[in-house]
Amino acid sequence: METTADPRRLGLLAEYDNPADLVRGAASMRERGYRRLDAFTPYEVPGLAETLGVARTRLPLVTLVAAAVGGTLAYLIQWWTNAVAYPIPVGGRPLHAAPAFVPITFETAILFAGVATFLGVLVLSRLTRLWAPIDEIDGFERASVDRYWLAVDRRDPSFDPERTARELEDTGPLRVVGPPSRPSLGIVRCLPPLILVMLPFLAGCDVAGPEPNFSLERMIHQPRYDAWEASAVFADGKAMRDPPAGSVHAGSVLGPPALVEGRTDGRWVEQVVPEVDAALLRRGRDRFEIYCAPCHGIDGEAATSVAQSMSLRTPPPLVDGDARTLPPGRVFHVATYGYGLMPAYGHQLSIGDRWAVAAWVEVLRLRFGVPLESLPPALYERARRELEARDEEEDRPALPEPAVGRQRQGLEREVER
Amino acid sequence: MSVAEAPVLHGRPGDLEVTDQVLAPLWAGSRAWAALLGLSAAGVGLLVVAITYTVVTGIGVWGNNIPVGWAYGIINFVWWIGLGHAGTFISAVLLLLEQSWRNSINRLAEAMTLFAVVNAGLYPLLHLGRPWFFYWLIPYPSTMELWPQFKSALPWDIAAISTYGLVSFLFWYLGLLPDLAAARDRAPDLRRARFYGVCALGWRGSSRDWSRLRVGYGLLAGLATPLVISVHSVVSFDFAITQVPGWHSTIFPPYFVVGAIFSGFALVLILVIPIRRVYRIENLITERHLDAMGKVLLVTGSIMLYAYVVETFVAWYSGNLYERFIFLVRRPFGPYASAYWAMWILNAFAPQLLWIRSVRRRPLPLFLLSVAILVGMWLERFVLIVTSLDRDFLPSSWDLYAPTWVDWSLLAGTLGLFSFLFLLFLRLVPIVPIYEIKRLRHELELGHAG
Amino acid sequence: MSAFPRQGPAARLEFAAPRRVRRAAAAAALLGWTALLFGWSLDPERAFFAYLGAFVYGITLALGALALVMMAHAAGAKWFVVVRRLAESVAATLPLFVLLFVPLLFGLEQLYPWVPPLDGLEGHARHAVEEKQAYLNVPFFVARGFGYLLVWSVLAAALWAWSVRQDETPESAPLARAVAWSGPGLLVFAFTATLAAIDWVMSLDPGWYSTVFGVYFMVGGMVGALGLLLVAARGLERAGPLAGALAAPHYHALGRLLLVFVALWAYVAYAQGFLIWIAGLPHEIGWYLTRLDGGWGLVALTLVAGHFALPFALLLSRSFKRSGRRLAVLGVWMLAVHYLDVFWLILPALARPEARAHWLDAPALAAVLGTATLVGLWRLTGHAVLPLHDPRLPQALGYESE
Repeated sequence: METTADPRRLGLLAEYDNPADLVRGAASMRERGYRRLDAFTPYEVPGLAETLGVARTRLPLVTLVAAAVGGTLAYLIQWWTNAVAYPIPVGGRPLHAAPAFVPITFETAILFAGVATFLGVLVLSRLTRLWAPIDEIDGFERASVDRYWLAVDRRDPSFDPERTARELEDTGPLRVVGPPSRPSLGIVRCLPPLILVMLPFLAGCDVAGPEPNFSLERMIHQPRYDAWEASAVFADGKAMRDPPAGSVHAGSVLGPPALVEGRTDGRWVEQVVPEVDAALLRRGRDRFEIYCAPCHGIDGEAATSVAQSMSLRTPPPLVDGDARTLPPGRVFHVATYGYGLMPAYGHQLSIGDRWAVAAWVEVLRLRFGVPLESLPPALYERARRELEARDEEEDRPALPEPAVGRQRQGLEREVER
Repeated sequence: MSVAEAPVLHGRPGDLEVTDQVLAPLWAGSRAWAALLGLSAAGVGLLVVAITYTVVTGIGVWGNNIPVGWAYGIINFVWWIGLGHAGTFISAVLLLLEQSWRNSINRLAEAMTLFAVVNAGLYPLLHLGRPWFFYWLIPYPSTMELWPQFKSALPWDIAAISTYGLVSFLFWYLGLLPDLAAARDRAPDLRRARFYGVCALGWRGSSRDWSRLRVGYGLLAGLATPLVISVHSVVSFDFAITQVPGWHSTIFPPYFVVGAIFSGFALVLILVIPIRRVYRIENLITERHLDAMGKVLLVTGSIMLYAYVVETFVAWYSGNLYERFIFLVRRPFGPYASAYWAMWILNAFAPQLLWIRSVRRRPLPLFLLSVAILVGMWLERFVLIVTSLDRDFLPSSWDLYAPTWVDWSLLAGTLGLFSFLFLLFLRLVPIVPIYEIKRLRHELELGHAG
Repeated sequence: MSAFPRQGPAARLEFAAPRRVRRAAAAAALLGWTALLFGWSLDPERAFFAYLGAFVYGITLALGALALVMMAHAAGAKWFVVVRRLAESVAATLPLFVLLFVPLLFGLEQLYPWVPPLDGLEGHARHAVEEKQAYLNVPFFVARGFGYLLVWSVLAAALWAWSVRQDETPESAPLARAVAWSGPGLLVFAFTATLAAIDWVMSLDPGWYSTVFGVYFMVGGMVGALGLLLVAARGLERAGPLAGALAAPHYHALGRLLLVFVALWAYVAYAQGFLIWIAGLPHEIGWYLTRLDGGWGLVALTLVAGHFALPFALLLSRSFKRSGRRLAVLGVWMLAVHYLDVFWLILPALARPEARAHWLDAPALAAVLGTATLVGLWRLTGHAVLPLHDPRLPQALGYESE
């Protein structure tokens, strides 16, 4: 658009000390047939733009188009990356999850529109031009403070240096001035700062040494060792170093290894280390049912809905199968550090609690798959009596050996005692 | 009856007078200012220490644990981003609503927004654990052909907050141009004239530029209005898209937005009340402004009351065991009950004092109330985040939460950073839009605006 | 500044309902009630659902108008003074709804599954109902219903009385009272309207709950009320009483308000739908699954397009907002889609596959709206269509928007 600040366009200027005079002056010049008028004011004087015949700006169109472009782009990126290029099924939601794409689509539309609007103002108003010939007029700087300037374009068909000056004087300004005579240096002035800004980028070049390096893959090929890499520096030929002998891991609990680690000399402890009494078992049962039972089940059989959902690596039953034979030291160790998908509970369960849990696991195991003969004699007799009595009642053949699971009730009562 | 309102502008100062009054702090600092800046710089130092320690060691130095994996990082993030909302609200929404009282405080409030967003952005960045990989959240063609997962709230946050920060800055800067030009033209020496000259981008105030500025500013206001609403809605999605009791609530988006504006206006008042006194601009920021902001606090505070009541009632109405546990047992009677009740008192009940006009118009009560609200809104986020997490569905993952010294240092440090930036702003930028005041005076003389 | 004659012939401002309109309303009401009664004898369940839809539709319009009046008072909006009397007369129909509520009481068992016996309920829904019987029981429901209606009626009647009294005195005391009560009134309104939304609409599916539902209900009502206000304002401008008082800036302001509420409605609807969709909890998503299934899905899509996209796009245009004629057409459209919205909320609860539009919906609507129109016209008759001694009236008449 027109910029009267342009030296080729700068005709005559009139300075007023209040907006009303300026509007009147502009109106009278307009009446005289001037069409290329502009004004410089400290704020937007209401009604001035209409008087000068300033056209409505095209800015809203810029904003609208930018918003449409931004929104479309954002939606397409989300759709293409998540539904086409790299599908990630998550939370059972569809790959092309339109409702979930709304926030980013919206934000990006606003981002594009906002930036475009700002740049639009800058570009349309030719801002960032820090100096213009008009600035050389003495006193023009008060256009941003308390003076109101009216400018007539030199190329206005009605423009005539003398007549226009007279007509401007008639509108009652403080003074009328012509353009200063000083050429614009234009782009030449911008080059030094531009070069200055670019200079730091040279720091990224590696061409100074004896062997200039023009590779663009320097981020990938870096002069350093990766894990497990061989190295000629050390005697053992490894790049990785062992910690010094006697190092203790930060945060480790010190104590007899049997008690705090569940093993001695690399072997799992076969017995629960603290003394087993009713209080310990009660504690163990309580902790077990809070921390372990959600996956391994109240009875340790791992028949839980959590276990069903973890179909690839189910939590094993603790009373059956491979895990049944794990010694208490191993159970304690797993409770401390976790195993596979199972998280570590060292933080939430104290050492005593973990041993109590290990003891309770022992108890749970007693309820399953214990041969009848291995019971203490008194208990054996009673169990046999009761079971046989029930089988007769139900009219079934004598017990098969070993009687897995059948002893449950009686044994449980015994243990509770 | 509010027909006989207090004026938005005392007296009819001349153009030059207003310009020099507002520009005066730019040319001469004071010892008090320098002392405050030094104090804030100490806060920034603390922040640098805390951040360095966090980044070097890992976020294990925070009090976060499993299950309370969010804690301070997110509490402070939500708090800061909420504080920012008032700036945009004052500038954009009130511009669209043709509220002339916004003109004196919008610059200040927008600057506050920018600095709050800077602080807010720090937290999720640090919470990533490896902040130097933050760009993984932005879709770019990486050699591993991996893309962000757009069904997660984290990329939404990135989009919302970066857009918010940038658009707020552009909006603020565009409105700043004519005043920077005035500073350029009134600068006492060449050095400062050059500084403001570069910042003003060559603004000369041609009538075409003015009309473009008005339209562009209006467009940015139109964009910022839905933006400001969307940003805190997206923040609320971080919680509400989950299935966590106490988080999954459909009222969250509007309730978060209102809470944000509520706390943001409190912060504006905390800043404006001393500033108008110290800078002697009580003629530009009048009782009318305090009254209007007090009313905004009253409206938003009442909406908070509404949201708290509805949330609690619907938790009961749902018949859902877990919702009832969170809202009716854990929050009011659990270990964090004091924070919960403080939140009710400070956010929902205390603002009801603003029905009284003398509370709205007097600086001291307004100031104290604003501080209370700021604390209350921080507590609200604490209650929301910690009490919903510390009791998970499985008792096996229950744990309490306690912050560490690093958490506190980060909070204190961001407060320091905020005041540091804000003090710089006070010294470098005209804090009241000079041209808007001149225009307002012009219109008052013509009898357009009341 | 407009040169509207403030002391001019008040007779021109006095409202007299055109006989044609009055007769049409009376005929609609009469036919509606008769047909509804007849339909009730054939299919009582469907008749009650049709009536509930019409009742909720009618009352949301009146509540929306009440809220708009109070909001305008509280915010000190000057331009709204020009259409305030119209909004007040819509709100003043609220006492009628105390009567209109009574027929619903005979259909509670057909309408609400939580009314004992709980035979139809099982699983989650039954459990939920058992958990909240302290709230969802017939006596409390009825008492609450009358309670809300009483509160609203008092608010609306008081605002009307103060406004009319202001016409007769040059002092602004009555207006001051209206302004002073509007703030607390809004707070009371928000709580009661939310509970009413829960009682009357949400509890149709007693297992379902959503915290933002009350807001959705209120905002929907305001969209409808603005539509009605646009139609009424344009009608009165053309018919005479408001000619010269209403100009493009007023329509602009009304259009802008409608734009805000349309966007707000979409925002709340998205918040609710999106959060429930993405969490996918079984006891929440069912409500949407019913309402997105088959024909209901089409209704939902129409709502997205017609209740949001179309009006939003149109209202972005400055020239559209400044044209009374176009806004009035849009007003009719908003009234229609608001009914569709209410219909979509309520009717899917009728657990029958053929739950779709039924001939009974029309007479139910005619009965409620016809009666309400008669009451509204009767209220307005003999009063000025503008609040005469409102000190802000000259400013309101001369209002200019950007």
